[in-house]
Amino acid sequence: MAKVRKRKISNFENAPIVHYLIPKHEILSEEEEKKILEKYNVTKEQLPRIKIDDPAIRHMNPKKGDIIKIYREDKHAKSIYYRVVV
Amino acid sequence: MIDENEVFEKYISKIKFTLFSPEMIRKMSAVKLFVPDTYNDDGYPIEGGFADLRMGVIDPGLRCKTCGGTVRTCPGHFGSIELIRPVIHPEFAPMIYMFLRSTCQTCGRVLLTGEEINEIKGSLMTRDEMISTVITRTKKVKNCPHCQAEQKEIKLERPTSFYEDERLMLPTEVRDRLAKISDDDLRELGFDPEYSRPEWAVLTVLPVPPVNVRPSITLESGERSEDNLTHKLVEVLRINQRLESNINAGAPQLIIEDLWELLQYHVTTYFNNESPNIPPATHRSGMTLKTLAQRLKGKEGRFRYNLSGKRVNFSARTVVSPDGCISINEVGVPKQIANELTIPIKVTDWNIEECKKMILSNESANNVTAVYVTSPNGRRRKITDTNKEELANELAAGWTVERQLKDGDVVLFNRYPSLHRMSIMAHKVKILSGKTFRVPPSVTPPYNADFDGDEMNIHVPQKEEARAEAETLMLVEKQIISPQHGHAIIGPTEDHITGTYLLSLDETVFTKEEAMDLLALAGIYELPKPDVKDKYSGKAIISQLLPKNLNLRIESKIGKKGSSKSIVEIKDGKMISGYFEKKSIHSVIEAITLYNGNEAARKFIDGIGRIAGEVITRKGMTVSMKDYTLSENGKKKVKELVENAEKQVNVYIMQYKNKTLEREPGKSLKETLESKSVKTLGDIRNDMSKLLEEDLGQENKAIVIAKIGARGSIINVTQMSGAIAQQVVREKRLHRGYRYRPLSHFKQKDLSAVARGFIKSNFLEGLNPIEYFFQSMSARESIVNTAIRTARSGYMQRRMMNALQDLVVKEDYTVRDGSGRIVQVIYGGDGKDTMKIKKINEELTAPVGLPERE
Repeated sequence: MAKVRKRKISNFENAPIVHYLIPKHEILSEEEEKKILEKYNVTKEQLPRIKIDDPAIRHMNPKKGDIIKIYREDKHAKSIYYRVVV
Repeated sequence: MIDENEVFEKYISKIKFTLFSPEMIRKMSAVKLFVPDTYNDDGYPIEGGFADLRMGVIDPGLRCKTCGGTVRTCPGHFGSIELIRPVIHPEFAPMIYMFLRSTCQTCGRVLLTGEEINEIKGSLMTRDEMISTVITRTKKVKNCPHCQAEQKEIKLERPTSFYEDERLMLPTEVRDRLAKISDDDLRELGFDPEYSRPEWAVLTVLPVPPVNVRPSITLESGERSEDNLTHKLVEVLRINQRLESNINAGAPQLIIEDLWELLQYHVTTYFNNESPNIPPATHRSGMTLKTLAQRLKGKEGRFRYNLSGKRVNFSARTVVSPDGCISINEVGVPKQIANELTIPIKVTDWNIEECKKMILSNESANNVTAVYVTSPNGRRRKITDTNKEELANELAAGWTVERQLKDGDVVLFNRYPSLHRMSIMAHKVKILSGKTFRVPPSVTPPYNADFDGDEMNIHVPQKEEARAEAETLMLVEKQIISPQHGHAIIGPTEDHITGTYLLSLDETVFTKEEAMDLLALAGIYELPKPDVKDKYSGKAIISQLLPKNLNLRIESKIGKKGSSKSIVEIKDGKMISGYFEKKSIHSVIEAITLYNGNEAARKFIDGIGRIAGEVITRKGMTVSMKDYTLSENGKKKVKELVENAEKQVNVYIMQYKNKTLEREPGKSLKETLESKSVKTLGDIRNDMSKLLEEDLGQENKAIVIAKIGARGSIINVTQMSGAIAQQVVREKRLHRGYRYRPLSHFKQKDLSAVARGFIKSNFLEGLNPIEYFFQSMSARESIVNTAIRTARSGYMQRRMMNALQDLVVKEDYTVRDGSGRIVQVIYGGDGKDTMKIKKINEELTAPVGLPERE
């Protein structure tokens, strides 16, 4: 049985990735979180998820349960997306 | 007895499939059967026989002795047969075989040590993998690790005979062996001993299904004909009793074993009459019996035939043919079909007179007739000539009358394959003579229907809610704009486009009579003022159909760019300039839908369709051989074009051979040659279409119908009049076939255009045999590709539909699943509904969309 080798943590771990395909990610403050949950009338479990080690947010040292605000943008529209760190 | 009014509200949390234990079968059993027969001479069920009343009833009037229910309410109850000697369940024989081989023949333990099992458990494997490893490892064991007993070789001879070192094992031996296996060992082998013990796979008691599972039929002669299963069960019981009496009489072992085997045979065929190595049990006539497995298996089995393939009531299917006179909201339904399909109408104080009329009218009179009435107590009666007076008198509010379809009823109309939501739309019934469904040609595109023999289905919604929903959501006029791209998909097609084009031409002028004829077709009975002296231009006729508030400017492909002819301009509902072709007509339809609503758009489509149909029948538009024949000069030019390309390719080949060809980045020399040749030969098509347009002229009918989008394309014209040009297979010039050449008529490694599938001929003059073969090669590929593509994309679509089926756009424009989980924070990332956004023309109209949101 093949063993999965754990990847060595790179030196770039803590640097944000700058790439035109990766939109801006942002951790919400507690008040902002409350506002969003109230606005959509949802619990954190009902929001889409993002892995805690996702390369796009790793540099921000997120905690489990944080809400990430993502500023998406494409040819036609700008939109904002929310994800919960798991 | 089950009370029909009692509602059970329970959720199934899990399902477990297990073996039946003998105790369970006995507990379930309402009767122990002991008479191998069904009915006595009076036609009454024999007690203890296979129609015993305790197993439920199938004859009306009798009552079930177990639950007291009647034919309709009794669910049926199992019986049982006590087998005097155990018999192996044929469908579990492979499982029994596995147990016999993986456990010790003496002590009944698994043939592995505890350490070995722990080792397997400790490895990173799924449960199923672990179980299969245990089983494969035990196969190799020679001596039991627990009692050191030597393991004999066990063989299974399908379906039910086990041999231990060539000696036949009796089912009793097998059963004893299985009973010895401990509960703990069973768990290692993937069994849950609490629910399924392996020895239960050797039957000691046989469950007998209720009578309503195997109903007997009364033939016309009054004779009863029993179900195949009943026949089989009777035989099982008969042999069982013979075996019993022989045992009790102390018959020799040989005879007992013979009978035992016979019992095994009957039980085996009772479960599966197609077991290998066993002659199938037959009727007296020699027909094989359909037993349990045959009922479920295969295309005609319960699963594929009855469960996956359920048929629906209140529907009809027939061939479709066109009718240009009915509205796009309508469908022509043959009288015969309309008479067969019904709608239930609740009788109220307000419609009782109407209902009475329907009951009293007869079919020969040409009006709607009721077929059935149902009184409030649930009694449903067919209306006949003899009882209709009586029923009409009895009729009161609260009754239900089932009446035939009439004009204006809403039905769902569908064509398979349903790839779209527009593949099923609601139409209003228009009863017509003839035997086909009549489809307005304008709704042909969403169904992807044509009239070369296509069949379509209609479904009649039975409830008021269903009808209202169909009408408000699914009516054809509500589907004019496709949600795929926000453009119109319903609108004039083919000859209607040609008709509209002819109508919009500047030189089209009608006399007063003609103008009246045309407008009357569209239901317009007011003439505008004559605009060309005392006559009427085509544009004036079109303007009569347009809503008064319509303003539009569209660039169309017809005429020189920027000239007034190329711009379709509509001001305050008056068509000022331009020619109509497919695109501009559709833009007009989209604009009307947007500003005046779906109903207005429907009226426009209906009107323009009728007028265009009349215009094209009067004016005509024909293509003939002449339209595809080039002038001598044109032919010469085409020839020149092809020759130049050929020469160019030959130059490349020379350069390739001399290695003077300049290599393109990322390509080998040969690839460079290929790509250059393909480009040169491919460019011919464009050059040729320009050339042909020039030679044939803009007035040429073949070019015109292609340009206005009525039929065909410029490529079709070039292939017919110019040259068919390059053929490709797998995106490459033809090269496969013989060694280094596609056909043996060429030299090996000949890279010239002709030797690589370039066709110089056209369809008008004909192809030579080699060209014909080349053409067939690429035609074949495209046929194969379409077949594969439909199958593959169909499966992809199915999986996607399953994944997305319960997503909903909520009031706040979030997309959520069934549990309220957010999938998209705003629908589509922009909150816009494709059907409702459309920029008609930036100068004249503002973009319309959903309100901006934070």
